[in-house]
Amino acid sequence: MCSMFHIALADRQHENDPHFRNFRRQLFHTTLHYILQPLRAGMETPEVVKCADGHFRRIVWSLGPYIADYPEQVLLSGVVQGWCPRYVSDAILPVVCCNAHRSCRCTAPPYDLDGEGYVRRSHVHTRALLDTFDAKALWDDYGIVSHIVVSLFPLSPLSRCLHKRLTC
Amino acid sequence: MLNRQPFTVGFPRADMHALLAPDILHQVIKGTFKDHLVTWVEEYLIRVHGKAGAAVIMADIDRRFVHISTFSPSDYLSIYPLYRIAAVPQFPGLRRFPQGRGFKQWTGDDSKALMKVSCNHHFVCIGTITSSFGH
Repeated sequence: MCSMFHIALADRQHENDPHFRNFRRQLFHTTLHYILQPLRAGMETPEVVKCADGHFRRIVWSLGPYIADYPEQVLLSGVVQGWCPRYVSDAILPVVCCNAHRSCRCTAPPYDLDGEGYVRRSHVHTRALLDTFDAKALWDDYGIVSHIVVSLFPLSPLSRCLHKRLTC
Repeated sequence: MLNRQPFTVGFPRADMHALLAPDILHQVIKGTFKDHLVTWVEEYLIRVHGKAGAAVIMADIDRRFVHISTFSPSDYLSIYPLYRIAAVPQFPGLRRFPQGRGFKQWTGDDSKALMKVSCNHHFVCIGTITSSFGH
């Protein structure tokens, strides 16, 4: 599947602007959402597919592993730069964890990922945190980015613009 | 982000935090070696020798391959093991770096090739650094 992917670029002076960074993250996620949307039907309704062994089976498709370097992982997971995109810890220590990044703030060591004190990130967990804490607490204590800059629902000018481009 | 969460919230059985999978290229080669180790050593050299001094050392690391006519056994036995990176002779499977490490855009292959010739040198350098901390 081939698709056109918008990468938001800015002049150097705007690179560290929080509004631009927010916009870039939201553009990235919205683009991926729209690109993968046509595949969604196959994620709920089984399709009959001829497998490599020649047999036909009902297949339910799902999104698979996403491999990326740390900066892209930060963009994808919505965590604060320096935090682990897979685990939350209740202490901030600069250790090299499962993600092998020098400033990663996760304290779950590779040999004890299920130990006490480390919480595995999940959408359910993040959703609960978003409903409970304000943006500052989320950033400082949980390493979650929660700012909203633009509304990305179908009626917004930005998403109309994106939708038009992606369906050309 | 839809509802301030990753796009995977809109897909069944998809949790971005679980889908992120480590791989050798991005985490070990790029993350640990290129983004951390190489950068850390360069920053250390700048802190210890100053910007100009560090530039001289790093240029020396790169230089020895271009001016092959000036290569001598004494270069190879230099007291600074870090200098030996570019003086690596030809060998099957080893890539040479005639322009040093000044790539505009690193590729995975560049990182992997540099690891083969410089990894032990960086560790020796780190060994030198850590041993000097005790003094």
